[in-house]
Amino acid sequence: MTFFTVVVRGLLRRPVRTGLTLVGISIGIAAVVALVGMASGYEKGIGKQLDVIGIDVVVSNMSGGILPKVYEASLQERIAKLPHVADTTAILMQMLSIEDAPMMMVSGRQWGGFAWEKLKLIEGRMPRDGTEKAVVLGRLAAEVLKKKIGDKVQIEADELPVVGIVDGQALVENGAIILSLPVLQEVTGNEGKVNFIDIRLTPKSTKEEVTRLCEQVKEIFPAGRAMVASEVVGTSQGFRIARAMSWSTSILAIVVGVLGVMNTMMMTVFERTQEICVLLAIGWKRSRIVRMVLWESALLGFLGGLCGVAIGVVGVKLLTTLPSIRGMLEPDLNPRLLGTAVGIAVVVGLVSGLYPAWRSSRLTPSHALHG
Amino acid sequence: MKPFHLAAALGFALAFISSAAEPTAPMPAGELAARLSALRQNGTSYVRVKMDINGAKKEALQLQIKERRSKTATDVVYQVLWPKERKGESILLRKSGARAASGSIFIPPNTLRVIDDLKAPLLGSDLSYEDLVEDFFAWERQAIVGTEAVGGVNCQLLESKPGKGERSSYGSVKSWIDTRRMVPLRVEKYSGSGQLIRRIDTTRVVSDAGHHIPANLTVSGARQGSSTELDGTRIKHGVAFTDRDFTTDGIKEIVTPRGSQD
Amino acid sequence: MATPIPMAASTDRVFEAVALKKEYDDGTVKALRGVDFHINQGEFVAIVGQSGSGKSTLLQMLGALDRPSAGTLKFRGTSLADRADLAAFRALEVGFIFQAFHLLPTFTAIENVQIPMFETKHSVSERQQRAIKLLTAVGLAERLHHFPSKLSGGERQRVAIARSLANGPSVLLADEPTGNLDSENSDIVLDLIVRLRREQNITLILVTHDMGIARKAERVITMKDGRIISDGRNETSQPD
Repeated sequence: MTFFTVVVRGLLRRPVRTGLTLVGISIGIAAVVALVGMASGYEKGIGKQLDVIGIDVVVSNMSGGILPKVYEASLQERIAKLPHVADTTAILMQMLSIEDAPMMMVSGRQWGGFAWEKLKLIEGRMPRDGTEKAVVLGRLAAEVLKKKIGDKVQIEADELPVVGIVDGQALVENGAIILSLPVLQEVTGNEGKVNFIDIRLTPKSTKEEVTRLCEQVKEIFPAGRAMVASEVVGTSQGFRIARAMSWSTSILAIVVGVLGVMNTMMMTVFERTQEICVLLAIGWKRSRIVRMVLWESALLGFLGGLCGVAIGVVGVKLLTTLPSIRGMLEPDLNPRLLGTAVGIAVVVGLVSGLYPAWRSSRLTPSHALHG
Repeated sequence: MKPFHLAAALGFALAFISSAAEPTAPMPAGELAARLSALRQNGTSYVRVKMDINGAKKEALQLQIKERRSKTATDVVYQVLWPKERKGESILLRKSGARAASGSIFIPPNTLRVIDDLKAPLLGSDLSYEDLVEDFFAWERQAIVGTEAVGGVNCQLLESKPGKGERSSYGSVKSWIDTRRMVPLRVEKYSGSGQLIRRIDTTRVVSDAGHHIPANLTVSGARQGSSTELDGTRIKHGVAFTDRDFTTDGIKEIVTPRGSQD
Repeated sequence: MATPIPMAASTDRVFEAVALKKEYDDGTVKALRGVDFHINQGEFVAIVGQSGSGKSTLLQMLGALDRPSAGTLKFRGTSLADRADLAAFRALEVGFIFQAFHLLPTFTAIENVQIPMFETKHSVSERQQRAIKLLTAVGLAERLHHFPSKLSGGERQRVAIARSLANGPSVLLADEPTGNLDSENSDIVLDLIVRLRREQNITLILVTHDMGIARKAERVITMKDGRIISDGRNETSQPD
């Protein structure tokens, strides 16, 4: 028998109570895993998308509602002439409710622009030219809309044939309907308008040069703003809110977990007052008693953490198969997050055990003789 | 949440515009109604809506709505874009002054008839034709009958009744007005005998060009166990419509407004 | 019945108490009102008295389960108050046997015996071997893996005796060890304690209110109202 046996026996003493506490921590940790995993998956997805397309700077006017406001496409020419701009591509992005699906991203891309480069054709073909009234679907979009090559997709009043299905290597791309810019401009009545101009910088542009470029864009387009793609994710209010919300909800869940473990450990200590006194009477050091209680609560936290991570991972996987979420979110359940979650659970256990441990170490061995 | 996700997904922070949050002092009923009515008479607008009818059979429709409202007259066109089988179904409604509304319906390929019963359901939904054009905030008799919270938002309870010269199939309309955002969060329409005919709940409010407008609505009560959800997906103001857009000839074809401001 | 105790050499002294007092509840309860005595190595001492006489309190002082309020108590020449490692004293120098056994219910007999051994440097297998030896010595070789709830009262107390001997103490402190047992088991347990004590030359200090048990001791200290009223050799001490 080792000291660890003593710790485990302490927990097995009241299997139902230990089990319920485990469920409590597990749910808390599962919430942490699910929420933080979703939020970070969401961030990574975007970062990846910007990366995949190779965008360095994005120009848009964000004073609009859900999506940036449209502006004159002619702005592109003036931006292209600015120093350190290697390439530009214009995009008209719209969020539209397509047929019986809720909001989807419809992306009209300048024909021949670099936004087309990373799309990998899975099936069918790309539009023949910039004027062909046809669309390609990201593979998730095809699934959501239940469309195959040859079917027609109705965008606003127009029916456009699906000529290809593509893998965009990023979730946002895969969930989109992609077509040539002039076609989308026509279909949505936005002739000559775009709402994004994506910029690729000349290699080895310095940070100062990029900052200067953004200022120059502001001069020729006062209503708009140029943002460095790598900073977009970190500075976006949407991300900050998502991150803050997932963590604050998680913290609530953790607090509930702490209270649960603390309650269990307090009850164990109260219930075992006599036993702890006996242990002191037969010569256990107080430090050993403290260690026993802390190990028990840490072990409880650890097991709860493992269960919680498992529940969280399974839960998130199930969630992402729901029709309304499918294709919208790709959770990021990286080992670091899972490790952190278990770590949090152990810390939760330890913290919860501190007070009970202190209480138990204050007991007097002579109580062992009474009762 | 989804549009928010994707919008932010592109890295563009939503401007959480909530107009100055000063609580407004309670307003007399007449003034409140007048302000709400004025907000509706905002010229021309083009709206794209997804309508989910959850009745005996479930049906989803994509609609485009053209509206031209002024103090004296309202013209409204509803056109089905999708599904294919119903594409082109169009409704034209007009109401001017205190006169009763009138309207026509076009069903492709070539059926055009006058709408004789304005209480009939719109495209099989839980809304009636009358609901589209009638501005009960412009009625003569307005009274504030209390305050009540809807979904945690304190609302003024406004009761509107048609005046002598005003024609409506409803006897009264109660609306729960969020006076800070000037948006009705719930509307209940009653018959002359006081029976509840339908209830309209605002499920999402968006801020658009400095105004708050209901983007999602749930309409219920017209038929047992049936409800209709309207999800606004796009709105354009100051659209350059032609007069033809609001004629019986104009509704025979689907025209999307061009070159308008988004 | 009692004769004065001859003075023993101080090196043989296990315990030596001078004016030992213990008060509870801010002095309102005086459990020990000044007690002087000494106990020599290898003695079998019974402490008798009615309940409330202070005999159990005295045993607690001897086992360092509680601190005296006044006076000194020396163990092998050193004051217990000066010892920093009272836990080690309790673990290694003395073994305690309780009236209510106080076995840990979630541990088997062999595990219960090993519990005090965590305070020694023995390996896991050494602890295991020693526990088997001790349980065999108390006649429970067949009951090693039984939980206390599956043992009779007499068997439980025998496990507790094995536990008290776990770290080879030089002193055994027993508080009414047969108080919760029927007469048959009382005899078995008492005989066992006496036999083990003699085999291992352990000083045995036993608190009891049963004069029949006290008669087995070599020396009887009688207490009343927190004082020793008699202390003497037991002429009729019956070797078992």
